[in-house]
Amino acid sequence: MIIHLKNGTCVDGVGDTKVRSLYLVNGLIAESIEPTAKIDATYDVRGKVLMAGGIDLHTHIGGGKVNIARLLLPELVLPKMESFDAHGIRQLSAPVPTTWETGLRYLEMGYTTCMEPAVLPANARQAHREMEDIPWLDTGGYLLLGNDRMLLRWIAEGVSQEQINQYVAWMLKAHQCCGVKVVNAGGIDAFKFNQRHLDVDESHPVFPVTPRDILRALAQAVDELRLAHPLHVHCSNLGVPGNIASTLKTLQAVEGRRIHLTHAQFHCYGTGGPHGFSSEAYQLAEYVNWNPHVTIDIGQVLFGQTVTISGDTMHQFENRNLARPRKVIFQDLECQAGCGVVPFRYKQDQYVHGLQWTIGLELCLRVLDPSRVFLTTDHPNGGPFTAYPHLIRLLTSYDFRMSIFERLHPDVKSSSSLPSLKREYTLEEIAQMTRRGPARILGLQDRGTLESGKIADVVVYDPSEKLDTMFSSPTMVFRHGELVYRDGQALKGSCKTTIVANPSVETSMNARLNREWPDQYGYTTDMVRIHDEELLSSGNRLKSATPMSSS
Amino acid sequence: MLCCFCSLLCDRDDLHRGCDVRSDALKTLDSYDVTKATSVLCSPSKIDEIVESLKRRLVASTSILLTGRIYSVETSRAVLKAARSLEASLDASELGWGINNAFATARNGAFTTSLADSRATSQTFIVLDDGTLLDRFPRLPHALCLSSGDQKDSRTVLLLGSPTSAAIDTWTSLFPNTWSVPCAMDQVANALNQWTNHRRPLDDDISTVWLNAMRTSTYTSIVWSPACLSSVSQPELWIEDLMDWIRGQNEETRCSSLTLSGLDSTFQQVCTWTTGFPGRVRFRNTIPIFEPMESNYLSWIKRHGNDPHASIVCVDESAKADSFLPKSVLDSFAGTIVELHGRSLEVDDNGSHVLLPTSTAGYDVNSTISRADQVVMAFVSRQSPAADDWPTPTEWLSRICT
Repeated sequence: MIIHLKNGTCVDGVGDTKVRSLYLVNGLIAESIEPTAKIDATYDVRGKVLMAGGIDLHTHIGGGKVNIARLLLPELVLPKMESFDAHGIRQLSAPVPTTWETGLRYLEMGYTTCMEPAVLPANARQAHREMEDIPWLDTGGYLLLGNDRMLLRWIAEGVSQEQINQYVAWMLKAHQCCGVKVVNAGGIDAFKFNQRHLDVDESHPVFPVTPRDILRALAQAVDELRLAHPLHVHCSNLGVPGNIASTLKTLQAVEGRRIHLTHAQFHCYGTGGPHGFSSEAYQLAEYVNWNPHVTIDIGQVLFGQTVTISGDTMHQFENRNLARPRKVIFQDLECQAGCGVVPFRYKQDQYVHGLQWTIGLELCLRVLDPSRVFLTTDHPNGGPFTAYPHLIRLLTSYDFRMSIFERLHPDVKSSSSLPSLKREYTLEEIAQMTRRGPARILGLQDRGTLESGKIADVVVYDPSEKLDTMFSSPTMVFRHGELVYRDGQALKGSCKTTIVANPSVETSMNARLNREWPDQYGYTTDMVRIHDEELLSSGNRLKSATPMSSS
Repeated sequence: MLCCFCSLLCDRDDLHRGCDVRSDALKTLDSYDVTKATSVLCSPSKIDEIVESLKRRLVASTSILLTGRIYSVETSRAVLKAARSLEASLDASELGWGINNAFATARNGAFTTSLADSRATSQTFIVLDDGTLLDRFPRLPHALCLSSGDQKDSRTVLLLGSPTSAAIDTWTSLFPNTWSVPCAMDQVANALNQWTNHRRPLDDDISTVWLNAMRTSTYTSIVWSPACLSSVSQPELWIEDLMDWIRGQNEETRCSSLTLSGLDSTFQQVCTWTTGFPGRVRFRNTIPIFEPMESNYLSWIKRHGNDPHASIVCVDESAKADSFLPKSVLDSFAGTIVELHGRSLEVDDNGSHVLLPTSTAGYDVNSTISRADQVVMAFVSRQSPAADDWPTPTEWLSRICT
C-alpha cells in the first residue's frame, strides 16, 4: 500500500520546514519510491501543513483511578455537547470521557500516541484492558514504584543496587510498562501510617528511608537498566505554597541522573505575593535550562470543571474540602500506592487558579529548549487534553495570551511576570514540544518526525492564523499509513500498539518475589503478571522503546 | 492456580482446600453430561437454524433486555457491543448488590482499601456480617490473616451484625483476639458513631478491650460486602452513613472500607469505561442512557412481561446450575428468552425459550476477572481440559446479534 502526499509543507521539529512530498509505504514514511511502484492513492496537500502524529507523554486515560473518577461523577456527563466552549476548547462529554471518546478526541487533534502515567502494578492489567478499548491510539504506561512497601523495606535494609535494578526490570516486564513513575516518594505509604507530610529528607514513619533515598535508588536503576524514559517524578508537596524548595531538592536527589519532572506547574510555588502564594517558575526554568538531564511537562490548568485524580493520597486528602461537587474517593492500594479522586473547579477570577494558569505558561516560555518542555494538562487534573490547540495558540501568540491574562484576578496581574515574556513559539518549536521531543525521551525512535523510515503517523492541517482552529481540526490523519480521519469524520482504524520497555530480566527475581509476595500481597506473581501472549491475543502489537545508548 | 468461583480469586492451594464455594462449583461443572451437549454442538446445521431463528426474533423485538451473570472483561465487552447494536436495556447487576454500592459511591464518595493493604496495614478489623459473609467468601479470614508458624495473628477483630457461630469460630481460630458484638445491620453506623464519639458515655456492658483497640487503632479496616445488606431497608443510605463515619475517622487517624464486591463488578468496570456509567443503561441510537431505575432488570421484566414481542437475552458465565432468571419469569414471560448457560442445548416447542450451552469464565476459557476489592484484575487460565469446543458467550452473541 503506497499513499502519496504531494507538496505539503512539512514541519517536523528538525528545523527543516519545507515543501515536499511524502510517501506512506506499507505503514512507513518514505521520501521517494521506485519509479515503477504503484501508488494506491494520491492526495494533493499543497498549502497544507504536515506534521508527525502528536505524542502526549502524560495523560490519565486508563486504569482504576480513571474509572473511579467516571464512577464518581455521572451527573457531570453532558446529555448533549456543545462542540466548543467559549475559549474554543472542544468539550468532552465528561471530565473523564469514555475510552472511545478519548480516542476520538485525540484523533481530532492529530495525536496518535499517548502514555498513561500512573499504572499501579496490581492494577496494570485493568489499565491495559482499558487502553485496548481506546481506538486510534498507541498507548503505554509508566509503572508506579517508590511507595511499594517491599521496595521501601529493601532500600531501608540496604540491599544491593543490583537487586533493586532487577526488581525494577522484573516489574516493568511483568506489568508491560515502558517507564517508571514515582509519586510523592514514600509519602503515599507514610500516609497509610497516618503521617500527613513527608519532605524530601524526612524519614518514613516505619522504614528508615527518605524520599531522597528512594529517588536516588530508582533513578540509578532506570539509568543502569538503560531505560529510554527517565525516572518520571511527581514531587513531594504538590500544590503546597513554597514547594519550590522541595522540588529543587528532588531534582538534586538523583545526583545528575536523568529525571523527568511531571506537571511542573504544580511544583514551583513560592510563599510571596499578596496571598502567600507566588510563582517560582523562573527558578525552576533556570534549573532546567542549566541541567540538560532534566525534562519537564507542564500540567497547565484551564478554567472550568474537572476532576483531579492522583496516586498522591497524602496531598489529595489535604484538598478534600475543596471538592466541587462535594464528594471524594480515597483508596489505599495493595501496599503499593493509593488513589485520591477530588472533583475540582478552576476559576478564572480566583487568585491562586489565575496564578497557576500564568505559571504553566511562564515555564513553557522560560525553558529555552522546546524539546525538553512538553505540553500537558495532566489530563484531567489541570484540564482536558482537548485544550492543547488552545494552549498552542497561547504559546504562539503574545496578544492572545494577554487577552486572557487581562481577565484574571487583579493581584495576579500585578504580581505575574507573564506580560514581560514576549516569546512566541514557532510551528517548528510546537512540533518539537509535541512530537519530536516526547518521542526522543520515550525512546520512540520510530516516530515523532516526518523523516524517512518513521512510522507513517502523519497529520495534515489546514494552516490558519488561529492555531487553535488549525490544531483542533486536521483535514486528514494517517496512522501507520492508514487513513483514519478525514474532514471531520473518524474512519475505522485497525492497528493497536502497546509500548513497553522490555528490559532483560533475571529469572531468579521471579523466585525471590514468589517467596516474598504471598506474605506481602497474599498472592504469587502469577496473579498479576501479564505475558506478551495475553496482550497479543487481544489484538495488540508490542513495541519496545529503544534503550538508551550506553554512551 | 487462580480460583475464580468467588471474587477473592485465591491463588494458593492452602486457600483452595476446604473452600465450599470452590468445591460446590467444581461439583456442578463436573456433573454436566459433556458428551450430550458436545454432540449437539457437532450439528452445525441445527445450530445455524436456531441462530437464524433467534436473529429474526431479536430484530423483530419491540424491547430487548440483556442481563445475566457476566463475570469477565471479554464477555462484558461482547454484551455491551450487543446491547448497543440491539438498542437494548442492559442490567447485569446481580440482585443489585454491586450497583447499590456504585450509586452510593457516586452520591457520596468513599474511603476504601484493598486486600493487601487491609491485611498488612490494619491494626483492627471491624467485620460487618449478616450471617452470610463467609458463605460468599469462605477464605476471607485466611486471606486477611498474618500468621507465621504457630504464631497467631494478634490483631483485634470485631464482628458486628449476626455472624454464625461457625463464622465466629473461624475468625477466632485465626485471630484469637476476636470479639463478636450482636447488632442489627441497620444500626451499624449508629453503633460505630456511638463507640467512637469520645464525648458520649458508653453503655456499661461494652467491653473496654475491643473498644480501646478500636479507639486507638491507627489503621482500621471495615470489612463488609454489599451482598450482606439484604436485611437493610435502604442499602444506599446505609453505605453513605458508613462512609460518612469512615470519613470522620480519617480526620484524626486512618480508616478505610474493604468493600467486597461480587464477580459482577467486572462488568461494572467495563461498562463504566465503555459508557461512562456503572451499569443499568439503555442504548438509543448507539448512545448509552443512564437509567438506574428503568433499566433495572426486574422492573424491565415487570413492564414487559406480557409483551410477546419483547426479548430477554440472559448471559450466564457462572458455575451455577440454576438459571439467573427467577422461575416465575421463566414460566410466564410472554416473549422470547435466550439463555446462554450451562451445558445443554434446548429449544421449546415454539422456539421462544432457547437455552444455548456456553463456557464458564475461568473454567472453560481464559478470562479476565476483577477481584472483590476491584483493584486486581486477574487473567484466569482455562482449567477444564475438555473444554475445547464450548462456544463462549462472545461467540454466541456475535452470531445472534449481528
